[in-house]
Amino acid sequence: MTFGIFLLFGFAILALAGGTSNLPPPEKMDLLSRLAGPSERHLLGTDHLGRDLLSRLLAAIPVSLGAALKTMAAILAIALPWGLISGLAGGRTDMVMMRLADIVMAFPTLVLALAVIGFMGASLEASIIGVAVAWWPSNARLIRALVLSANERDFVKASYLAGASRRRVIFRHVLPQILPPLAVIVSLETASVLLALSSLSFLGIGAQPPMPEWGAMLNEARPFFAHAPHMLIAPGLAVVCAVLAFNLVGEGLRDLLDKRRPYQW
Amino acid sequence: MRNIGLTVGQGEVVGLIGRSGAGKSTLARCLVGLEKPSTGDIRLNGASIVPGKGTARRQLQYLWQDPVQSLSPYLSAHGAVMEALNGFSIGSPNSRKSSASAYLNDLGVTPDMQGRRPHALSGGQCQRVALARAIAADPQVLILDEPLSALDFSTRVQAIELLQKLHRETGLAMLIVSHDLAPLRHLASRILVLDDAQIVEDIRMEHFAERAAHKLSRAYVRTLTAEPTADSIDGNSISD
Repeated sequence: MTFGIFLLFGFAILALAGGTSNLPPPEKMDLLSRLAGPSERHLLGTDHLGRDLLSRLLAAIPVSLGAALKTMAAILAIALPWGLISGLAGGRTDMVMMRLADIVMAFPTLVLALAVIGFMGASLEASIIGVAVAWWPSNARLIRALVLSANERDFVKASYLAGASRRRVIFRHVLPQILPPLAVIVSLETASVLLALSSLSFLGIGAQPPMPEWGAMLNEARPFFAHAPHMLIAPGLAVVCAVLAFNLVGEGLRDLLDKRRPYQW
Repeated sequence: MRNIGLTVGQGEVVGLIGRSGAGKSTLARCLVGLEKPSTGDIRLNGASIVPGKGTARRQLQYLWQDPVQSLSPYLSAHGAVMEALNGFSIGSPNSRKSSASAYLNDLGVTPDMQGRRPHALSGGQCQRVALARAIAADPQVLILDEPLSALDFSTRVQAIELLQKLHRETGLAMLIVSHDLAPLRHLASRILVLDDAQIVEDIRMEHFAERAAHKLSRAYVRTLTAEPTADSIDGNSISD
């Protein structure tokens, strides 16, 4: 987990450094230096339009990671209340809500995301909404399962019998139980959401040029792979490192929480 | 279970015993709404109640088998009792803090322990906190599900003394579920024996040894022949 946090911290520092450095602006073209390899002037080389790759890579950090976090926030905005209400209400409400989630889950996630993007038009915002629409049901199911398990604990029932209101039971005894495992899920899911967004940008239906975004940079590099492999390596490595960081943090959190007794959560 | 009926009189302490898995706990849980019987009626002071709802939630309090698991890890001992006082709006808001402390003090939870959470308390201390929380609700009936089984021998003796003291001082009616007769002879005035999903014996404690007729009851009597020792209190449960 430490390495994961270190990587994420590193991304944050680099993103800040990118904005204050004297690197060329990420959109500035220099057609005379197109497809140039790494040099003293351009540490990571240039792309097919002569733009500085390091500058674009750093400018893409807030775009790519920000998009992943925004998507995760959108997923949680739907999945958290959905899973909570479904798990706590039980009965017919639970059945109807879960069948609706099942219907959405019946579509392959990327196909559903593509359909939403097709409807809205290719853009980073559309891909955020598309991924959120496709990803929320599985997260709602997970949250519902956590709620059901938390709600069955003796102390939750005991608090209710001892006079606590339904609202107090939810906020004081159920939600605190699900937050730590939810943090693990969010961290691991952010990694897969980041991959999905990068894939959509790679396919040309996510972030649109000239916006610097790792997936879009990979897409732009594709035709020049044979002549300028450096165009692929840098954004590719950035995606790998970011996914690895979120996964490591998620795994680390899980290990940390597994070591603790459940009632200490 | 079918055709089960039991009555607990005002201020009476009734013991419900039977083999493990006989349905004793299920029956007790039905009384507070933790289980739903398919048919039947539960009455309090002659009036039908919906267990776990309305005033019945306060009047019938339940003590879990495992006291540690029945206390929220997010609340201190004092917070747990406060939750009951606030939840049932008992006393004025200003007096509740001191009331909660008084309930805990009465049951032997000292002020230095009152700020601790369950994982920082022993099983016996947690049971005292759970008991204080139940008493704070000012119930008419206290249902105790195997209140001694999760405790070690010395704590069991203390718990028996605590329940005796509680009954003496409050006159609270209690239904104590147990798989073991030995501790009940120190607590209950009447014993119900549950077997084959039926109540097969309903007899006063003082007559149990002489008059109990059912074979399971006789088996329980045999566990009482020895002097109360660690072993007899610790659970000579009746096996099938």
